[in-house]
Amino acid sequence: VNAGIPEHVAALLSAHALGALEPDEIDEAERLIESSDELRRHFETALETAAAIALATADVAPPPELRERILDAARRARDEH
Amino acid sequence: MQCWSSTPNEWARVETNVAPEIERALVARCAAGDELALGQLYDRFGRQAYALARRVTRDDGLAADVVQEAFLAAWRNAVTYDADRGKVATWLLTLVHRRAVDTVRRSASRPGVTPRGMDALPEPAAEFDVPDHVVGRDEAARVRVALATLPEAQRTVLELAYLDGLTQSEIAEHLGEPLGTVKSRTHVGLQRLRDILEGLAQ
Repeated sequence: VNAGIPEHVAALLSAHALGALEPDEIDEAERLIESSDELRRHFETALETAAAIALATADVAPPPELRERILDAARRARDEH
Repeated sequence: MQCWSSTPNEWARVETNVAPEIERALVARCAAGDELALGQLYDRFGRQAYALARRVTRDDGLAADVVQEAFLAAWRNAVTYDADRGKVATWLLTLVHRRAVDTVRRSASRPGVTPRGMDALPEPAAEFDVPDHVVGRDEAARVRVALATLPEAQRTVLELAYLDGLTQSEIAEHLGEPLGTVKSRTHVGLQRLRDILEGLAQ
């Protein structure tokens, strides 16, 4: 799948998808993603796999008032414009 | 909307066939300033978002703040969402994850490279215990199986990175392993997780 992508670049993008890079490495990864559609697609695939890990976390209900808090803040943000 | 909720069978069809379309339409309505759509996005993803934020921050109050910031960012930036670049779920959970990790890294209580509460980490069985009533539970179960199938060393680096918010350097120090080993293990682990998930989805 990643035949054209050097292993260390693919590894950098995987780590970026997991949020595990240092700040200077993040800049490098972002530059790479912007530079090539192939690298961007590789990153997007990695991001989707990383986000899947989120689905396996222990299920806990958010506080009931959080929904209205978010909608209130969204209304304020919209009405400022 | 109400016509979809009349019978469980119709819901099942919605879940499997047109859910991504509905989710994209909700984001488009957010971009147009429709707060009802934001509420529906929250009803769909709020629980997963909160579970992720709570796992990363290990704090109920911080987790709620993270989820609020992420949904507001989604609301403000809905117009920039590009369906060709990924699912709505990935987009939203990534917004949540980035903010959760930033919160953990800013936190004064972060004790160097040692993840907070490592001793108190639940066993994997408890960590990935998902009750039956949760929407998306089939997918959650698939991910749980896939993670359990990974070699332990790979699963460990993925969890330390994504769920504990550690950088690769911090993981290397924490495990006492060379940085290069951590980097390759992370990459191979994520690719293998993807392959396993694709296999399970068929």
